[in-house]
Amino acid sequence: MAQQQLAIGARHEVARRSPLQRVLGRDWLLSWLMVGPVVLIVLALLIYPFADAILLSFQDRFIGKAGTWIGLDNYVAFFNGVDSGFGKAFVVTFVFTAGAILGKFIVGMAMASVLNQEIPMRNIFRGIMFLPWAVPAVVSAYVWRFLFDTTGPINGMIAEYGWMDDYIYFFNDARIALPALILVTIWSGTPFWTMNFLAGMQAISKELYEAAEIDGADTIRRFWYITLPGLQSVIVVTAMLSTIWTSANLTQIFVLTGGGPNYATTTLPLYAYLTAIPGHRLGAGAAISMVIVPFYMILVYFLTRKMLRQEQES
Amino acid sequence: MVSGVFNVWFSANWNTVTDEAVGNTFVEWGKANGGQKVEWQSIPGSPQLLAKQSASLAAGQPPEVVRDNLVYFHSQGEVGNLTDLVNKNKTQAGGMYEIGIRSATAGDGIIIGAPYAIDVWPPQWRIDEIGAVNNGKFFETWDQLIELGPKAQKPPRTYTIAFCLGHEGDHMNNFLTVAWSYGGRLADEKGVPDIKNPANKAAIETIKRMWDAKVIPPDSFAQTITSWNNETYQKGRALVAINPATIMGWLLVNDKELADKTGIAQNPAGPAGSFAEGGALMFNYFKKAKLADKAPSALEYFIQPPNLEKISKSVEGRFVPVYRDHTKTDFWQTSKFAEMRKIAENGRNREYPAAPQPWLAEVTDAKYTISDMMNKVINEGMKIEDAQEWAQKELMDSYTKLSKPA
Repeated sequence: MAQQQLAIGARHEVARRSPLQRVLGRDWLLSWLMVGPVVLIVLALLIYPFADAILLSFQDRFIGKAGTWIGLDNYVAFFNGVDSGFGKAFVVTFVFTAGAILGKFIVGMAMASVLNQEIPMRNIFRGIMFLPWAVPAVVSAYVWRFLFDTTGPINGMIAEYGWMDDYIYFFNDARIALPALILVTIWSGTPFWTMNFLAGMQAISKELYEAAEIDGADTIRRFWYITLPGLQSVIVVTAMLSTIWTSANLTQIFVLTGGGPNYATTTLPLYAYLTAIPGHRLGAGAAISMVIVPFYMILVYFLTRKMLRQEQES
Repeated sequence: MVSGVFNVWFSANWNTVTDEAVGNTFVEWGKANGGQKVEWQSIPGSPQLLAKQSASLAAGQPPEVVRDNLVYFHSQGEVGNLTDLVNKNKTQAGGMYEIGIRSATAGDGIIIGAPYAIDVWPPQWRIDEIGAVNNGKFFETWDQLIELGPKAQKPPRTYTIAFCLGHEGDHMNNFLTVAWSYGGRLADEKGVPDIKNPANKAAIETIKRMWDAKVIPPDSFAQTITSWNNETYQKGRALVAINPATIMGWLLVNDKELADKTGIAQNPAGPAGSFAEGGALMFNYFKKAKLADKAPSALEYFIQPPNLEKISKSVEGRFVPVYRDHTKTDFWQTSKFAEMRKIAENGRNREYPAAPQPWLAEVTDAKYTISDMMNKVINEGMKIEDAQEWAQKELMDSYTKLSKPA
C-alpha cells in the first residue's frame, strides 16, 4: 500500500514537471547547470548572429550606418535581374562545386585504391598524400599562383621553348580561370577523400575479395561489386561534407582570382563578401548568404540523418 | 605615458623607406607629446583599404588618422573638417601647390585632408626599348603608341603598356588619362556622372584599338593584384605604365638598373591634348576614433615643412613635395623627375572639372564600373554607346546614394 502511494506520488511529481525538466531527468537542476553554458554559447555565437543576418537581409544598410527596413527588396533584386551578378554567381558556384567534387571523387578513389595495395614505401606515400591537406589554404594558393604566373615555371617554359605564341593566363583568362581554380581545389581537397576512402576500404573484409577472385571476378568487377558498395556510406558522407566546404570556399578563390576575370570565378560566398564589405551593401550581402542557407540546411539534414543511422546500425 | 594607442593607416607606397618615413613622423609626434604610443600600418590599396576602413568604422574601432577615401568618408560625416588647419599652414615654404589644396577641397568647400605631397601619374617608360623604335623619345600620341608599340614589344615576354582594365583602382586613372586626351570626362562641372559624354566614346574606341593591336598584356583584366601595373612594369613585362611614381620609387630602392632605363614623360596626347592626373596625398582623422581629439595636433605636426621635407627626401621621386620651396632643387628642376613637377602644376583630379566627389570611391574600388564597362566592350562585344549607357546608370546609382553630405 505504502509502495503504491509512493508510486502514485512519483507519477504526480513527474506530471508536475515541465517538459524541459522531464527531458533533463531527475537531476534536472544539475543537468541544467551543465547544459546551460553550452546553450548560452550556441545562442551567442550561432543563433544570435544568424538571426541578426536574417534581419539584416531585409534592410538597406550601408556599412557603418543604421539600416532601413525594405522588406523583400534585396531578395527580389536577385530574381528580377536588377542584381545581374547573382544569377552568374549561382551558376559559377554550381559548376565549381560539381566539378571539384567529381574531380576529388575520381582522384581520391584512384589514390586510395593504389595506397590500399601492398606497394613499397606505402606509408611514405600515404604521408606525402596528406601534404596538400596539411598546407594552409593561403600558402597553397600562393604556390599555385606562382606556378601559373607569367613568371612561373610553366609559362617560363612556354616562352623559353616557344611552344605557344602567348602565355597561358590560367587565372586571368575568363575561359580557363574556373577550370584552373577547380584543379587547385581538387589538389587541395583530395587527401580528405583519399583518407576516408582508404579507411573505408580497409574495413571491407578481405575474404570477400578472395571469394570473388576464386569465382573469377576481375579487378574491375571486384571494385564495382565489392569496393563501391562497401564504400557507399563513406562516399555519401564525404561527398556531403566536401560539398559544404567546397561551395563555401573563399580563401583560394580570393587569393587566386578575386572572383574574376569578368566574374568568371565569383561564387555566391565571394559575391556575398564583395557585396557586403567592399560594396558596402550589408543588407544585400546578407540576403545573398540567406539564399545559400537552405541548400546547406538540406545537406546538413541528410548528412546528420545518414550519420545517426550509421551510429544506430553500429 | 599617455594611455591608448594612436593608430595611423595609409595605403602602401610600395617601398618600405617611404612608408617608414611617413609612419615614423607620427611616432615622433607621439614621443614629443607625452609619449603617446603611435602605431602605423601601410596597407595595400584598393579594394582592401576601403573595406578595412569601412569594417573598422562598422565595428566602432576606426583608426585615428587615415589617408585614403577621404571624400567618401567626408560625405558620410566621418572625418574632420581641416579647413582652418590647412589654411593656417598652406602659405609656408613658398606655399602649397594649388592642386594640393584643390584636390583636398570637397564640393561643399570644406578641406578634408592635410596635404603632404602631390601624387602625380606620369607614364614611366623604358628608354631602351621604346627609344629604340622612336628615336629615343616617348610616344607623343596614342596613335603612335598603337603604331610603334608592336615594334618595341616582344610578346609574350614584353607588351607595350600595362594598361589596367581589371578590378583594381588604377583602371580609373588609366581610362581617364585617355578620355581627357579626347575631351572626355567622368563627371560634369557639378559632379554629376557624365560617362555617356560622346567624347568618351572616342577614348573607349582608342583603348579597344590598343587591345586589338595586342599592345596591352592579355592579363590586364586581372583582379587579384592591387598593383598589377606596378608589378607588370617592375617585372619587365611592360614597357610603359601610367601610375604614381610608386613604380619609380620601388625601382630606386630595389632595382637601380631598371630605374636607370626608366624615363618619366608627359602622357601621349589625343586630339584634345595631353593630360595627367595629380592630387594631394593627405591625412585626416576619423571623428569616432578613441583619440580623435589628439589628431589635429598630430596632423599639424606632420605637415610642418621640415618634417615633410624629410619624408620627400626619403625616396626622392616617389611624389612631388607639397611645398613649392622643396622643389627648387636641381632634382626637381633639371632631372627626369622635373616632368612630375610639371604635372603638379597643371594635373587634374579624377572628377575634373568638378571637385572631388564622394561617389568616386565606390565606383572605383567597390563596383569597378569603368572596368566592367570596358570588359563589356572588349570581351563581350557590347556596342560602345550601350556600354556607356549601362555605366552611366551604375554611376548615377552611386551618385544618388552618396552625393549628399551626411
